[in-house]
Amino acid sequence: MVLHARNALALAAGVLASAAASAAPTVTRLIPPSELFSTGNTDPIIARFLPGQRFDLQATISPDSGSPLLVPGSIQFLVDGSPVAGTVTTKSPAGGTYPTGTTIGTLRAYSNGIPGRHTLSVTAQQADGQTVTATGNFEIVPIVQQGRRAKNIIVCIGDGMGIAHRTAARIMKQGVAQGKAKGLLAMDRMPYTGIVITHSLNSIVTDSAPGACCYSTGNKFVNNQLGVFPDDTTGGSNANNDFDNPRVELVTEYLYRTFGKTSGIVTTADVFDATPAAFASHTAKRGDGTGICDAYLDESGSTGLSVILGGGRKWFLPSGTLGSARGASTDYVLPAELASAWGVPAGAIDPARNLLGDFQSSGWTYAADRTALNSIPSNTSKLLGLFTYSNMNVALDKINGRRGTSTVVNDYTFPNQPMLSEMTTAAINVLNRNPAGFFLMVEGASIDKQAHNMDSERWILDTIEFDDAVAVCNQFAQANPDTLVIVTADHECAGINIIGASTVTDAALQARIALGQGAAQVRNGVVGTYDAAGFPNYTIAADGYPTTTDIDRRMLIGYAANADRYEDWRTNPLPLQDSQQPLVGSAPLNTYPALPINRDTAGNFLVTGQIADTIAAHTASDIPCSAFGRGSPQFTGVMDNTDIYFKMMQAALGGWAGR
Amino acid sequence: MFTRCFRSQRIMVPRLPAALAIVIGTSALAGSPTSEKPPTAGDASPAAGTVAPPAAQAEPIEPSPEPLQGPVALDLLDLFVHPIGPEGMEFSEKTRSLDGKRVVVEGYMVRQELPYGKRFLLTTRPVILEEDEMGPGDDLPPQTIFCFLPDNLAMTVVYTPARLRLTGTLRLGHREEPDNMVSFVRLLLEPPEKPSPDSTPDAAPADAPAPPGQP
Repeated sequence: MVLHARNALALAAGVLASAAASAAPTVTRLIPPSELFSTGNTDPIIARFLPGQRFDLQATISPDSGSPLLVPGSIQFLVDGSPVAGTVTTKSPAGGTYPTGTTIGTLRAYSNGIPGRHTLSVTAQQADGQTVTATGNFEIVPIVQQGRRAKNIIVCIGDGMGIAHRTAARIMKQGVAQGKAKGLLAMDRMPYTGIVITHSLNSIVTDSAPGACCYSTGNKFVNNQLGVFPDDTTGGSNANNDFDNPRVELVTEYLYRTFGKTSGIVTTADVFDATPAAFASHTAKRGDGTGICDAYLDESGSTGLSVILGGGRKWFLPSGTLGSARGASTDYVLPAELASAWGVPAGAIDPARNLLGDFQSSGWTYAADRTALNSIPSNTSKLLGLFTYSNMNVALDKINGRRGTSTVVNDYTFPNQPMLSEMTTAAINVLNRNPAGFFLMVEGASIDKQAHNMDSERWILDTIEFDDAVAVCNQFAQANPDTLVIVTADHECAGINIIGASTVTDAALQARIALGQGAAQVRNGVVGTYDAAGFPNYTIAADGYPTTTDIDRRMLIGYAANADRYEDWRTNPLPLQDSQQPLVGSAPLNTYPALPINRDTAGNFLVTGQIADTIAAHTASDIPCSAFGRGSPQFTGVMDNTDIYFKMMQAALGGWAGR
Repeated sequence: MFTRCFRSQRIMVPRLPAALAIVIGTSALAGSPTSEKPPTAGDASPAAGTVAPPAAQAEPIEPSPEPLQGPVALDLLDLFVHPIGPEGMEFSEKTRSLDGKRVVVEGYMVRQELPYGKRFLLTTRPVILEEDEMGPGDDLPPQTIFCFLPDNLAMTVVYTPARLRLTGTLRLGHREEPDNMVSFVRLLLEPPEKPSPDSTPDAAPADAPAPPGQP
């Protein structure tokens, strides 16, 4: 619906931009996107690029009904009034309803080295001689040479991590005494902090695809799309339509092409997930796991991708192999003109491909579990670690598995999964072998996933796990000053905040829950606000995590973007952890219900949600950003999410005078 | 209903709910607790309350080459050889031996965002599949079975959080499903038996809270 509205707007602008009569061709889309094209306003500039950063130009043009043909070769792009050199290829739209003769013209891999604002125009002529011209704009952001460059860049993304996620993790891990935090998180100790605006190209509320692509390209994208601008060949059953969109050069591609910096992606999610994929793939559909993971290897000659760590083994096994999720409908083949212009392999629809074998035969070292990760050869230069079939288990379950108090990781049959800090250490050790430096993205993925589930203790522990990885990065930057570490999120998830603390012991809380009298017992007399909240005090074990999260007078969390849920404030139990569960010791061990609405029902305290969904949603709330190392003083104030990219690249390309 | 069931579990050990997760219209038959014991490996007799008469069995996807036999209990945790190696999984010998045969399995229906149609997923523990938001990035355990309703039944699936006990014909092998998911283990369900008085849930106490609605 949103896309249709935008098309309609673009159509109107195209008509206004045409000097011809009403029966003239119209330009319904002009890429890169701009307000000048869409509304006629010159500001704000939507699309910004680095000097020399490559991106595709594209326009969709519809002839009028009386002359449904465009003159072959008549589509021409002009920047600042001068024709753009290169070949304009054409194709027909797909996946929607378009006037007869509608044509998409594309000019691939354009770049511009002149800083400042530029106009982009497209012209076309139809068979009866009438022409159309439409104009948009974009900006080339200057890089100022001003000091030592950041040799290494590490971007840590706590997926869905808003300010309250950080606060909750700090309270749980460090505690508070008489109003003073007893300690800080690693990300708290970074010297420069600002806040980030997170809107996407088509909504105030972003999803994780454009939420990460702003950092990988400096541009706004449509939800669900990675490294590409929207086009008119979306939808349908042809997966190739997902991979032919206008591309924008990624940070990994740019830094590898210009400086030879290699790159890595480390995540607790499936490695094809939106955030890691934003740094090494281009597709209009984030679900195309087969093609995304194929491209990780196929296009590693462009991205310099040398480390991939996370879950997602299912995309790397031949389609006939048990556990494989590879399929033709999620695979890819690039148009020849795209592959040629960008200098990348065209790919193939090959679900039977042994991608894991191809990685290994291409010189990648493969680690299947924590033990293998910790024993890779010291001369490893390319590292692939796939520790589960899809998303990795969350910190709470991994830690309790190590403590022997939970069988969840065993139930998933992957009992030996590394923590994010261990993966980060391994990634840095491999990438740091490149004398030209590296770019590394580290993602704490399940902060978001567990916030969606409104599973408070699980996202808090995942935030702590993420912070441990941040500490690894900061230690490396401390020892290697030509390193920039940025810690931020892609968006806030669930509208989380800390509403106070319980005023009762855990035993008293359980007794109240057992009465099943709802708010009268589970809210009233339990939820302490203001003075009654006091200072929750968790005991941290030697492994860095709370000995238990079911303490007396625990911290309490509220959700603004919540679905209906029952709340009892207790840690969502696993059978071995909760003596209240009757089936402790039975196999399978977990009898806990799946949905917030079906969970914690014993106390009968229903919290009505504001959204009509079964899980909580992302919000448009700003998010925090902290930075340490070379160029870090830039990261203060209120920033658009795309600003992060240009500040980061200023440090990498132009350097920074001072730390 | 679930609230009542969940609370009652505390005094009903080792009661296990058992039923098909199938509804006719919007009236769920699923999640009805019974007092029977779970079947054990080698059970040859049909599990009461879960097995339809042989004549009523339907084969909507892959016709069974064998005559009906009593279902054999298959623990989802025993689907594959343990531990899983560094690459693909491997069916256990028992799983392979049950290909094409009637089995009874227990597990939890995966909660999906998109409509179920005539298929749902069954796995070892409660899981939310956020396929609309996350695509095929998921938290599914490897031990997940694709369960299909008979095509000739005017039934649809609604979610139920209860632990389920299902009977049907096991099918193994790679297949790409219409929604782009890939299945390796499928269960062709048998039609549900009409609920008997014995399988009716305990009556709720007069002061019991209203049950949470289906999301």
